[in-house]
Amino acid sequence: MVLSGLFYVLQLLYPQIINPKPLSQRITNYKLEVELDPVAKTVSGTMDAFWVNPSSDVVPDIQLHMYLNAFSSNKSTFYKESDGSPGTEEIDYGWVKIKSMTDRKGNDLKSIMKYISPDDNNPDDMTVLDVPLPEAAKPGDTVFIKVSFVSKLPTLTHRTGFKDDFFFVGQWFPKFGVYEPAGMRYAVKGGWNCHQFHYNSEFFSNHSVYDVKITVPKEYVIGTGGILLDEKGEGEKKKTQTWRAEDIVDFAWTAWPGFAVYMDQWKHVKITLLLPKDRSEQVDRQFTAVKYALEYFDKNVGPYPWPYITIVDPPKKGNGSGGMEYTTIFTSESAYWMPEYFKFPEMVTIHEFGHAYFMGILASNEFEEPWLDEGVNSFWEERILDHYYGPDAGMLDHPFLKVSDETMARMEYVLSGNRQVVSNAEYSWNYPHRTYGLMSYMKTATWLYTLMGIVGEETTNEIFKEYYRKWAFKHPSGRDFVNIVNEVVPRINGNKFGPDMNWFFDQTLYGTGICDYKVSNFFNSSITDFKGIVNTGDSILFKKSGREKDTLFKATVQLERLGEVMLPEEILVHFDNGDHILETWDGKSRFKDFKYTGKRKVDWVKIDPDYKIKMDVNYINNSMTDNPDKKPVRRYANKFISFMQFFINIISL
Amino acid sequence: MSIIYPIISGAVRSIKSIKGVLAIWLSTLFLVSLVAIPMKSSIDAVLGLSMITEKLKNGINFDVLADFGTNLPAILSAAVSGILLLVLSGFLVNVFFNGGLFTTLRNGEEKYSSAQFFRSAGTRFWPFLLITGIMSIMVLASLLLIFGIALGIAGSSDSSPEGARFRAVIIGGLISVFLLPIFLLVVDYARVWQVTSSKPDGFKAIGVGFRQTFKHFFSSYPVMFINMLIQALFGWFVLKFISGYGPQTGGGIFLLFLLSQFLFILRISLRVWRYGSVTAMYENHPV
Repeated sequence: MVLSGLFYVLQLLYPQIINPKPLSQRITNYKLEVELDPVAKTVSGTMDAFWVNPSSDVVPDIQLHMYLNAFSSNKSTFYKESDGSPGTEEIDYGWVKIKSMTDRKGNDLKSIMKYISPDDNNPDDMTVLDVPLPEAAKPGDTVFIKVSFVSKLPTLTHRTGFKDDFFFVGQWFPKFGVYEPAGMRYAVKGGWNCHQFHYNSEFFSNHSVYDVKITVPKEYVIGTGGILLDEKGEGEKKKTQTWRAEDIVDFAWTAWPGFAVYMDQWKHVKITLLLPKDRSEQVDRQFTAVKYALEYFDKNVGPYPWPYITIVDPPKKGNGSGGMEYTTIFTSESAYWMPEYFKFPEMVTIHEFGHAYFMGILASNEFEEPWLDEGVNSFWEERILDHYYGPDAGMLDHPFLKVSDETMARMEYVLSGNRQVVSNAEYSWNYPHRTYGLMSYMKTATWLYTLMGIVGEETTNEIFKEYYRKWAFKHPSGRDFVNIVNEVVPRINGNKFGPDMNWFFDQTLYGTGICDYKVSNFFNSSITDFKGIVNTGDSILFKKSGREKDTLFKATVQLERLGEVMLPEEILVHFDNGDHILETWDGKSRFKDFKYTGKRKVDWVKIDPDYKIKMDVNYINNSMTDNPDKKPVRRYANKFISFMQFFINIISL
Repeated sequence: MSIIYPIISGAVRSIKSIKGVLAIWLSTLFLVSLVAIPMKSSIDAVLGLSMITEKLKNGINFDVLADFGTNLPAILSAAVSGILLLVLSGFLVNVFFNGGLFTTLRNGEEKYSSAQFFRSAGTRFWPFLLITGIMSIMVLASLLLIFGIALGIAGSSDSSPEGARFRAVIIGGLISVFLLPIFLLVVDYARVWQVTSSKPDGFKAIGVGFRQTFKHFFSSYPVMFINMLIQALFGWFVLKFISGYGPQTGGGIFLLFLLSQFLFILRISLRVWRYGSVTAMYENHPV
């Protein structure tokens, strides 16, 4: 109640402009007035921000992310983890410097603030700032800060920085961490969740309102994650634009004189596309892709709540900023004359747009559970691409070669030698042996496909709809997602998969095992009449069978589980008379035999005939027949012979 | 000299050398099979009695490739080594047969003689290897230079227009298309001279090739350009046919084999036609 009243007062101070009602709690708010210096590569200005204590704790400090300081030296945690360096010249380095910081009463906070390293105690890391408060924040209190700062952008790296006159300005201002009261996500007691900037990591923030004034040279075209409220000239050479964004987790922007601006509309959403002027042939592709994504998410997850979205397709020199998401603004990655059959730009656009849902609306902690945004989002990206561009052609749609997006993820998982070194449930920077991408993107997408294969597409969509209904504009954890699955699956399927789906997540999300089922063998033996010794009481008789063989057969199908993961399987058994039997196996035992007696012989056997269990690391051993079809391989061998003959002939002049 | 005569004469000479063409076809087929058949067998062995091949019916399937697991790197490694070996040995075999071909293409060689074909192939092998090797390097170096310079200029600055590299490739390609017939004329004239000369001298032959090419440039170049154009169109057709034709039955696959081999024989004949045309042009203007 206290909080509601406070929010009401704050909303009077910061009135609604975009959404009729706040979508989130708006625990943090930012008002920034900054100027871009394209020569010094700096963004400097002031920030008026506040944080509301959402807990019942008395909080003695605030913590702020100072992400750009990750690029200030090769001793930062970011560069220690990557074994790299921000660059060779001073201009390559990035940092954020606080010139002054005061509280509402004008108390100087700069003199008492200090850098901390909660993750690794690295004394050289300056990406988390702890500011003790002169007066501890009581429950419901609002802590205002006024900061004057300079952010020096690094040479374009990790999706922020500059290249010549191109700027992508991300993670650029002092930003509140998330105060987690006891009970929120995994917190057993209240505290700041404010991780350092790691090499393999993204972000975690509260939904906020941003009012941002940006001054740039007049010739620059600006794109942001907000809507433009006002533009005015600042003398002959500069202009100032006023932007506002509501209920987003971060505010990023780009500025470059070479952008062409295109507009389109999908239902209530105004789509703005910024891309290099001579890349106009990519415009339709980008708009189509984002509209597909809007439509698919709207239908299967939940509505896109903002009335706008901005896509940035950076120029060639700004490629380092490609493929990044900031909810209502994201960067794609195309190129001049990118062939239509190669769906890479569509893939990036759909993926980055998807983050508006998975971390934008459903603001999970990317530091601690990267699978919950990247993996879940990859799953949806693959579904959308394969749905709209063809089930076998979501990534490549060439007459000579078609590749689905889902296959690419599965292939990376299946072929990786490191797929068992760690489970998904790991902090992003703790994935060993460079498995961050494999685990958080590929493995997650693969087991989500497997889950969909088990519970069905409709149930899967219902899971995500419920996840959206329950957790939109909040901070769900992985456990919350699992709870949603445990709630929805039994509701729709009864006890078919047991009282909950923990057995699935224990093995896939939290486990390191692999899934591999195999048809070990099948054989048909004829049943003969009785032949042998008959004890009649007085004497022993040897009875010879009348017929050597009967017309009845005993068919045996032998299956094995090679991996540790146990999943329910369907087995299709085909007989020589054309009959089929679809068997089910809970997949738990190490082996399973099916036996049939009758006049028919088993012809072939397939485990998982519809390839639903994408986690199975070997589909080759999933089936067996006496008469395998060798024709496709023969055809490829023929083609190979022809191509090689022509090639040799051509190069021999 | 009309450009019609060498074109017609080359075609006639090509038909007369059909046995040589067949010899090249058979030897190439044999060579390629030495790599292709073991490769096919190892893939068959990995697939075993599986029905996964149903996923290969409509084209290459990456799911199946992934399921090759640890076998995949081994198969790929064997394939790469096999292909490299194949290209090298195929090149040498073609150089060998070209010695025989250029001899039988000469006027006065009224009747094809296998003995003479192989004798000449053996005798001319080393100078032909030198000529073909040096000219191949020159062609390769020229292409690298053309594309390298074009791309270098286009991509020298980050502020270059986005399409500059693409346009550079197109321009480089066009220059190469017009330059390639010159190199082919040189190498063909060189080989024609070599078979008329009693002394093997590859370097001198290349010199003669250049001299003949530029001395009779305006009569030679169109002949070569026309031949190349026809070969390019033929190549495009073959590529579309072999890539696009995906028979599902055993009979269809055998038909694919027969047709592709027939097309390959045609391809060799087109090349021999080129050799014949240049031989005819040389005989009209001998050194």
